Amino acid sequence: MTESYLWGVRVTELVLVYYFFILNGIYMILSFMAFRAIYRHLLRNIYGGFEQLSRSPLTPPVSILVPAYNEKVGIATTVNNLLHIDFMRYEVIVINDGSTDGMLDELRKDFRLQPAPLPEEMGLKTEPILGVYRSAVHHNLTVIDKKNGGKSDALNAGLNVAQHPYFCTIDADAILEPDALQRVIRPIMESPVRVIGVGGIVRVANGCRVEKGRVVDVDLPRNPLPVFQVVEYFRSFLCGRTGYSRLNALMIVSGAFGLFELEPVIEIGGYRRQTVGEDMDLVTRLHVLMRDQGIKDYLIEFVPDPVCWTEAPATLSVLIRQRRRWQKGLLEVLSEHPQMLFNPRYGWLGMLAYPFFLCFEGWGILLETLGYIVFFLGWYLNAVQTDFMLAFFMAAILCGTLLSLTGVLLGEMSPREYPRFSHWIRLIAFAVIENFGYRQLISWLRLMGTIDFIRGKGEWGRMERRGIAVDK
Amino acid sequence: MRLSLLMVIYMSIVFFWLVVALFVYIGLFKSYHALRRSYRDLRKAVYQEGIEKVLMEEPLEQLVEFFRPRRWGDLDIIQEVLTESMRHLKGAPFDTLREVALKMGLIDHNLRRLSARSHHERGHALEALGLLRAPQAIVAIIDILDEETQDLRIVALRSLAAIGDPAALPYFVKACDGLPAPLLMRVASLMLEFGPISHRSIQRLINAHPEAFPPRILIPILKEIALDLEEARAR
Repeated sequence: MTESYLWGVRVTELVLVYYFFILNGIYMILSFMAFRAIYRHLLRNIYGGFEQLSRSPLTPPVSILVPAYNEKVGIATTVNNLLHIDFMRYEVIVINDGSTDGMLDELRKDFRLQPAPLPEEMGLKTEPILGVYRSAVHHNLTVIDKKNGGKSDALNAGLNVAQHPYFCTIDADAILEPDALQRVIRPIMESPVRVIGVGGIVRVANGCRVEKGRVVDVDLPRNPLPVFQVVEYFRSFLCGRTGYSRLNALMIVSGAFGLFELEPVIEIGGYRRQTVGEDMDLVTRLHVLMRDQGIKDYLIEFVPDPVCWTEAPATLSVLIRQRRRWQKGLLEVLSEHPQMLFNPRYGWLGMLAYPFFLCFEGWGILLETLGYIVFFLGWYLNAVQTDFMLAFFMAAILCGTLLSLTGVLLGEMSPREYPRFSHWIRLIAFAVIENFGYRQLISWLRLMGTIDFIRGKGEWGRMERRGIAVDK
Repeated sequence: MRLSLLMVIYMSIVFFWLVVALFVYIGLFKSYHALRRSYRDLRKAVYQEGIEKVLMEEPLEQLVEFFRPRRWGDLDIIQEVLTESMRHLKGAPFDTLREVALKMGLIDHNLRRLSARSHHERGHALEALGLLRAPQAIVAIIDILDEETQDLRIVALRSLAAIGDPAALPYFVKACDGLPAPLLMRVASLMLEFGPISHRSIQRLINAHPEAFPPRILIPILKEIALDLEEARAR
């Protein structure tokens, strides 16, 4: 009994070391690719010619979709911000998803909304649309009032009304950079292959000074929880997504901001309502659509420029809900497309990104949990040597710090970096500290999300906003 | 020693040194860029005064003298000051700044950089030549069109469009020969910068590559051409 137990511990130990090796090895390769890509991208930005691109009559016009539910506090500022971005032809479509806080009245009053005819063709099925309004002062502002049906449903209603060949989705509380559309439209205009989707960096706005719906002073929040997320966002956006984008294996474009070609999105039936990870689901289904049609020459690209600012959870309860939802959404999407696993038809997506997400980001948490249990149980029963535990713990911390530092470095390289020396010191400190508690917390929340998925439980939940879009 | 322990120890040592190296690199990177930025801002402020002198219509010789580099590395900063201002100025001040750039040898400087080994340096030079509206550069830019990479070819065409000499239009069509279909719309958008004179060349481009111009792309081009013609007729 004891011998077989010891043998089991040894095998688990070795499996965990290999797991750790492969996981972090892939992260490091992606980080290295991201470093090269970002460096080149920044050099290219110097001669980017964004101005010409923005005023060119052939630059495709964009519909900006803003799904909103009970966002009365900041919606006027958000819409005003969107109506003053640097782009030649675009429309803003706000979708009131059955708000009960008087958001529609606020919009009616601020933008002098007048009733407009309902769209004749509704390509995508949604909850009933109660009314469509157009602004008497801004020719490019439309507001849709509909029954509550969730974010995906609201976005689909927006797609039914969108008039332009490309659309961009943005959260109602997010702040768009004035040149965001110029930056994300460039790959579409200047890429040698068809680009059907583009994402950009979503930055944490907590702590920043916002004036008239614009981030005017980049700063770190005092609350440590959002600072951990700043480091985490840098790592995930700049290392992971940039790396995957180089391989055209990007599986997610953030729901807070993303630009897509309308036609293929309509072809796949718009956003799927039955998932909480609608952003990842859409991108994955777009890949499937293209690959199943035998189209290899297409891209879903990630632009390592900051395009959008959003409020990160500042309280533990909101973070818990958000991360459980993210994990559940990830597993839902992965379970929808098992045909991708090691399928060369899907290129790097099938051979690397999908297996990686499935084995490490998705179900890997179960192995991690098993690892914690075996280690501590084994240590308690003297089956695992203390020297091994300490060495492994040290390696995990150093590796975690290394990856976070890479994210911080890439964040410092990209535009709108944190300007002060004290910011840099804090970010580095948090890149180290996060290994002692925050990462374990996130792992725990991922485990909870996995259990939610297995039990088929979980929904969007409410994000308690403190209102970054409101002037401070 | 067990294999797993050995692997973990080796990994820890490697990670430790990588963390140290990255920490030092970030420190150096941040300090270098902070210093470089403040130095450039200081030097820019010195030459920014020259723009006011241009607006006050001071004689060209004095302006050239004012803009002459006073320290090693200033030429790039002067070019940045001039091109930044040229983006916003029109008429006589714009022409004066262009004259200053020519007399200071900025155009020759960028022409030389067109044969630089660095891809980005060539891109930067192409962009600068466009911003300086240097007709002297047209031949040199056309010469390198065939040899350049796809992205720099677009930058080169953008420069030609900014310079605005319609004599360059036939080369736009020629440059499209090796370009993939999605980029042809970008080329057409650059050709439209020339106004009604570009219509025939655009027609030629569409005829040569009909597959690159499906209706969804063709319609906005036709709309734009119609607008151009309407404007021309009104004039």
